[in-house]
Amino acid sequence: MVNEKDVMLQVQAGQLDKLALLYESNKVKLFNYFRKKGNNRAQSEDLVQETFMKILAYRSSFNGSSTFTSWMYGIARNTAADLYRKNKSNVIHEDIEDHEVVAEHCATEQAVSSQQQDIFDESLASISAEHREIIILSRFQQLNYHEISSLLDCNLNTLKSKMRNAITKLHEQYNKLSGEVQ
Amino acid sequence: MNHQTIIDWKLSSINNDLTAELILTDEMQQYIEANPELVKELAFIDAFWQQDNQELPSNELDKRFYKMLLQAQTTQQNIETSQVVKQPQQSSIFTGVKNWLSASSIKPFAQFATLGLVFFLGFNANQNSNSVSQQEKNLVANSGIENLQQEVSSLSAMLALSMLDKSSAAERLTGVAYSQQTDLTDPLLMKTLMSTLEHDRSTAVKLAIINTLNHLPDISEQESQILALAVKENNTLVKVELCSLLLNVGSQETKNELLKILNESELNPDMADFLQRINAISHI
Repeated sequence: MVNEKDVMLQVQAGQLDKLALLYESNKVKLFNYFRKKGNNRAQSEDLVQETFMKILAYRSSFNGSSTFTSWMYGIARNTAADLYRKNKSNVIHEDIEDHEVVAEHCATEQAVSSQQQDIFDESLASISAEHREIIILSRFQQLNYHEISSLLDCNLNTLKSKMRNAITKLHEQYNKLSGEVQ
Repeated sequence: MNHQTIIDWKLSSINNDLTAELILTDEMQQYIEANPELVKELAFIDAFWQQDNQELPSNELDKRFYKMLLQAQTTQQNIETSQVVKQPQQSSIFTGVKNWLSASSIKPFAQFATLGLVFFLGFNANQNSNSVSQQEKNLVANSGIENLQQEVSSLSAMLALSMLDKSSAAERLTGVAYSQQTDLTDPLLMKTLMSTLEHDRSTAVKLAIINTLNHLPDISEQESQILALAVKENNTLVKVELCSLLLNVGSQETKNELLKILNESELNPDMADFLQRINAISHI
């Protein structure tokens, strides 16, 4: 398995082609991170592109003291925050339900599963931005508690408490929405 | 033991939290079984963590990334090449002497005499070359600054190209601002700016590009294209600014051609008067 920290240090030393390795192993995760935060497909792709552009531009600031993943998500969060500031007047979740329908969704099982996913996504979109961020980083980006706490600049116990609250809120929303559907 | 303990354990285990105790004890198991609500809660967490609905980005993203990477690599290569070209070949004489001294056939006396000679020559040369070495230092420092400026300019050009491609007018305006931080020698950036000037829907973006062109020392390469745009532009504000640009910094030949075209066309009298005034001022 590729050690991303080493690869990033190689990029920093001038081997720019190595950035492609980091891009290939992170593009889908980053894209879904931006999607789950409520951006549409085009915006999410723009944000992935911008994140990698910033990784390249600020490569000298990577000092290897944190993992590449948490450094990358730090940049990604700032990039998304910049977009949010620019589009403050826009509704951030305008197209949260704008999922492309995957082909061949005929089977009942798939339909049920898809419906459940939609409810999960809706529940996620309806909780606070802070709670959503923690869940996205943990669940979808597979960052561990240490990485998330350094990224969000809070201590481990506070993070655990926030995580617990976030899950409770998410579950409440899920129950509410699935009750409405039924 | 309470619900919170169990949920903490669950979240720690799915987050690979190494600081927490991850083993499910019998006591915990019994507690879970005794609380159906907790079982539902845990089932929900499992379901949420196991669902797999990752979306894939389009191929367009790959294209854009690799284009950006290629551009960055080209910039880096250009900088490295210019550094190699500028590297002074100072060490060649000393390398020769060093090689000669290290040759095993030279006797110790000859080595000592040569070292003495090198020291004498070096001492004298240093007396006369203080000013020269200062100049060399300045040259090296200047070339360093030049390279840095070149890198910043290339980075700005790269950002400008990316931003000019965006769907939002505000972002394209940012792109124009980035382009102003470059020396506008990048042909691709200039081509993109001209194309944006021709096709953009936003008046603000068009005006910002015209403002950028106004700061160029020479627009001779773009003159004919700007002239064509000035003639066909429907937005009065943009048309006036394009005409002003040509009348202010265009060649005499282009100015004459523009005035001729404007006289032949049915311009608003106020606008015609305004342009005549700009033309008159440009002759001062």
